[in-house]
Amino acid sequence: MGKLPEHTISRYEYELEQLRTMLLRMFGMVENQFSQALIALQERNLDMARKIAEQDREIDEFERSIETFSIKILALRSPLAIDLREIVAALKISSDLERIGDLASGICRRLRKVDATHHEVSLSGLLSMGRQVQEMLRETANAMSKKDETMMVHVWNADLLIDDLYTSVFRELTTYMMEDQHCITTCSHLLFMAKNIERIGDHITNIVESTYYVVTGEMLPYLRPHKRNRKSLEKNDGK
Amino acid sequence: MDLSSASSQLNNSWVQKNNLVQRRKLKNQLFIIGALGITGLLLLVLFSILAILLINGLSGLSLFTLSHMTAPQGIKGGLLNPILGSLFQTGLAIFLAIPIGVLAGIFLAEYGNTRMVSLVRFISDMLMSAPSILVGLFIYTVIVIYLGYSAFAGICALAILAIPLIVRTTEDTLRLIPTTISEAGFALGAPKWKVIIFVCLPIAKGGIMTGILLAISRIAGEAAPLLFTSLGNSDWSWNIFAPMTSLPLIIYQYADSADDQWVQLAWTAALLITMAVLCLNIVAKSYLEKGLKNKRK
Amino acid sequence: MTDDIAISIQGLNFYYNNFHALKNIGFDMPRHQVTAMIGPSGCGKSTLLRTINRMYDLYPEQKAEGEIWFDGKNILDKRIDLNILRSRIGMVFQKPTPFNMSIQDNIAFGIKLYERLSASEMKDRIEEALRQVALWDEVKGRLHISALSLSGGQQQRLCMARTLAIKPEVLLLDEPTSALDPISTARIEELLDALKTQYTIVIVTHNLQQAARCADQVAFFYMGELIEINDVETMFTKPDNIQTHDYITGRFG
Repeated sequence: MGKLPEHTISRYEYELEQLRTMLLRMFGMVENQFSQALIALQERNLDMARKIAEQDREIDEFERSIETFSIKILALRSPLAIDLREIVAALKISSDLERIGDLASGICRRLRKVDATHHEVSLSGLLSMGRQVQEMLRETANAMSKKDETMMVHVWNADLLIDDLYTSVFRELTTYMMEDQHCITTCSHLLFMAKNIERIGDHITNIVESTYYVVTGEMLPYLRPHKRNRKSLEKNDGK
Repeated sequence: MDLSSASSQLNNSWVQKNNLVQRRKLKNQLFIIGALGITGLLLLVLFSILAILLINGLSGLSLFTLSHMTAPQGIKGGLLNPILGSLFQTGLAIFLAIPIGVLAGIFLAEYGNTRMVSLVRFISDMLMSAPSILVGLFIYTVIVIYLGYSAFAGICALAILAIPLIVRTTEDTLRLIPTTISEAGFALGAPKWKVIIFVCLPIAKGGIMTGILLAISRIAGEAAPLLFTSLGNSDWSWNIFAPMTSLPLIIYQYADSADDQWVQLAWTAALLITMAVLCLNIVAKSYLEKGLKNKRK
Repeated sequence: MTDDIAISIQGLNFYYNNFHALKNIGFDMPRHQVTAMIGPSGCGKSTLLRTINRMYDLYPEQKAEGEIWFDGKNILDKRIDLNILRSRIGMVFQKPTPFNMSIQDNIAFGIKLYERLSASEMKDRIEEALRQVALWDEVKGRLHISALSLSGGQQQRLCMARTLAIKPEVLLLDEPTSALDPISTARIEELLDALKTQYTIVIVTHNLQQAARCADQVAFFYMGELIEINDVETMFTKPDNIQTHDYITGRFG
């Protein structure tokens, strides 16, 4: 869809622009929080982890204000078509972002409980998963501001890779646990962190779906890539 | 400091605008005074007419005058036959004029703007401004020459005077009705004549009534068209084909006579006509106002 | 034409003298559904409405060409009986149009055009019509008073009752609530919802929210052309046409 002409009511246009800006700022905050969390994880920097976990409150507040603002526009402007889609999407995206923020600070909180002595447990799988998600986040922000549908579909499919990575990290960590019973606690925490990262991937998929709906008015197919994958994962678990 | 500078700025714009506004107010007042003065002058003329009428006419007004026929000079007479004659001729003339006038008005208002319609409207407007004596002459050549002087001829002449007035008011009030009202009638599937009679006419009722009352007051005072038609009669006859007298004719005949009694009767007749017309106008006005009030609701 | 289609418009052109007001319009109105027509002023939506009951016939300078099929007949055919057509396709106008007579006479006027009823039958019909528009309880004790003394919303519902009383199959509504307050508007909209089961309704409105609330399908007109027709949900969430889109989101230059 090409660039739309402006609204006849310029204040309305301004409010929508304001909402977009708020959403992109929140996106930036979450992106930043997540990449910092990855650094803390890599450096096993507990101090940094504590600070990052605290950022969560700020993100929660941001979500509130986006929600109030969206409801205000809904009530006062009776938006239709793309405007309606955009505002509803802003509501959903902000709640997804808030969840991503929660999950990222969850990772940081767990990091403080990981026993620093178990250096033999490799974090590389977890970190590469994290970097993949970070890349997805960046691409989503890009696709959002460019309104690029193909880029969105690309990100949406990239979640498959996260799920695959999660499966291999899961295997890796369970292997550690079987080999050395002393690192079971550490590994379980790491397992939960992996799960958090995987969940972040899911939320990114949701965000992409919402943005895709805004731009095209169409829903992406019901069957999301990671579900297919999760089914195969559960099958593996059953074995 | 801040406040005072702001207020001084405010004062400036008060002052700036003041000059022009004052001049305009002055002009306004001058205009109003002028208008009031001229209106007062007109009212003065009007009231002096009424006053002279009352002073001269009231003394002749008595039960005797109202209940006795006109009499030859020297004998005390009344105004019974001219009053009856006026009522009779005006009444029949209006009775004749209403259906023709209203139907013609409907035709002009509801049947589009064809060449025929504009021709009819043009003729009707011409008639409205035609001198009434001309109408009398016309009836004289068309009827009186063949049938002789008669009340009938007088009625025809008065009807011709009344018709264009009724046509005009009927057309105007019908045109004032919003088209959506008549469209609503048509939308129910009603034929045109039903829409006009049951939907449009009830709304135009007030306006048409006013037109009729105004037409009555116009023809009630006409003497000129009656001179060559109903001629005048010192006696009373119900025969429509016999000459008949009426108040305006009596005024015309009596006013410049040498007999004081006749002159007095002329004044009284004039007072009677004026009062009747005044009453009709008041009724017409209240009718119109009632109609408007209904519409506003 | 299937049974599900009440009115089918095909290749309709409309002219005011030389002005081409409707250009090759064609679409179907499903039976027992509400079709809303939207568009900026002068786009031809009201003109189309007035074509469906041949209201334009009152004005010699207006002319329609094309076909409008209704119950097996082309209603633009010169041989169509306009009185019967208008009894089957009723219309309610933008401003309330009560006749200058009593409430009951307003309703009886239409009924009397088509039926000979006894006094008691007529009373029942009047009550039925007034109940249909939820006006009965408000006026039942004073049916003989002038319709002009009712409030605007009541007058508009009376006009709807008057139209419904002659039992039409299609209802044409030309901005029926634009002169009414929100409560009266809500009452009329509620009424439309109830009437939908028995009538095919066509409504012209400037109020997009109203179209969204009432309609099953929405047609967008611009400069005498039908730009888009779609079901109401698609129309207001993701219209196909960019002009429609700009109009309903308030981006119209």
